[in-house]
Amino acid sequence: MLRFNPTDKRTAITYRTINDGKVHRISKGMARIILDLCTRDKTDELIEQFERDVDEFARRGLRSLAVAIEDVPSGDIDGEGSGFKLIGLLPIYDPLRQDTKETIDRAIELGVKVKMVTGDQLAIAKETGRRLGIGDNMYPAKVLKDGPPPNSPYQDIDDFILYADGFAGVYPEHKYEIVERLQNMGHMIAMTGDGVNDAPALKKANVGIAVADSSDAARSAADIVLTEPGLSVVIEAILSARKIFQCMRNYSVYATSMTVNILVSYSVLLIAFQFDFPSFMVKEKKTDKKYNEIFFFYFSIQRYSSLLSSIIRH
Amino acid sequence: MTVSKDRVQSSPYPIQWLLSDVFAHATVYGIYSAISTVTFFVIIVKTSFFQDRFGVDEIQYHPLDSSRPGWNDPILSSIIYLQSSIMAHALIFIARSRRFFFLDRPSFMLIFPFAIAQISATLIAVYANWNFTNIGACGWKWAGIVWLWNIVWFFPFDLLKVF
Repeated sequence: MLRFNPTDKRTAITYRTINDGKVHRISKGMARIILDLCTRDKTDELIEQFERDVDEFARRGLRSLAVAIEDVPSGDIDGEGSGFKLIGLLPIYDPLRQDTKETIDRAIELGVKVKMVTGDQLAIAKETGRRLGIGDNMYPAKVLKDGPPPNSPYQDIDDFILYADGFAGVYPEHKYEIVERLQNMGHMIAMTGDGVNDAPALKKANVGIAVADSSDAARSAADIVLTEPGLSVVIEAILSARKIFQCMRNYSVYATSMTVNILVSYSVLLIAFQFDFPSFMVKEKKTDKKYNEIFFFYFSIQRYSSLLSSIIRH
Repeated sequence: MTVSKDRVQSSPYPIQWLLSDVFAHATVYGIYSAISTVTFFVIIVKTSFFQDRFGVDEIQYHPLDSSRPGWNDPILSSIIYLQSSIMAHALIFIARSRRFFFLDRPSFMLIFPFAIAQISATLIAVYANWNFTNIGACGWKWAGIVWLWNIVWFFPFDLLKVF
């Protein structure tokens, strides 16, 4: 038995039929992966029709899973198979949550650039991007290795990642790489995800947000774990982080200007008029905060808040 | 402390911590309020403006060999204390918003401590005769002048901030 994992992108099971005791192995997974796996009865005609169907489904936002079967003539569970044969194609509709579009619209309004990074095929990614208002300027993940196509307006991979709306067909290491490259360009990254394959990128991102019902790996790698379905609460987080930030800025402007005020006015009075203001009355006020501590505190909180306000990835 | 409970608008765009920006604003605000204090002092001791207009007693210039030489008059200390106390605390209303202070209404948690602190500062200035720290009761007339002075200086301050 092969469990699903994001690198192989397929799952397989070997079983023995009770009637005749024959052993079969059946595999289900991403359409193209299964097609590559098949060796038996694979005609050009079949391939062509298969690709046409997959593209047709994808254009309608349906993800295709293919199923293939092989016999294991030795009767041994781990034995060699006779080669997979394509037996079916399953279109799967993965509905978008209703509040997702709203959340993304709000995020874009708040100056957060949203990019979609998905393991799905390009056509589905583009369709989803259009529906969500992210845009359909998306590319397959292989450009991350090869660099942008020669006739594109982008100069290098960094440029490409910065301006593309998303990437499709990516592997976990691509997600990590995208986050890392954006960070190297000086951006603060917030990333959301739920799967095991998101965990490295969630950890790398400045703010990793694991959505509700995430895998344990994603939860433990994330900085924030959402407990309710949907992403809309992320907007709340951005807004309140900015409020906290604003309060801190206000306080530090206030505290610093008060210090400047008292320092300047009493030193002028002292020098110009020998007016020796009783220091007891000044000390009573709360001017003597420990500035080192305050600034240290601000800087640590600042990291947290400005990253939320940067980029959300899916 | 209550700044944290303030009602603030969250910024519509991503923001960044700019220490130089904080210092620049703080320096301008600090110097403006320092000017208000120094001008107040100069008008009290060099002119008879307040004495003529409001009928308050003149501040005595003490001989240099006395125990409180020059302008170190207890009443003057009291007046300056009240002035800078109010001005420094009112800075919070200037600092908390980039717009006119009345457009973003501060929260109750911000106004209430201001009121309590400045009422007690006024009471101290008006009634306290503390020899150990050279503070003399200045009376309600001076307190009124101080409040008026600060209000007059506060509005242009708000205007200055907006530009």
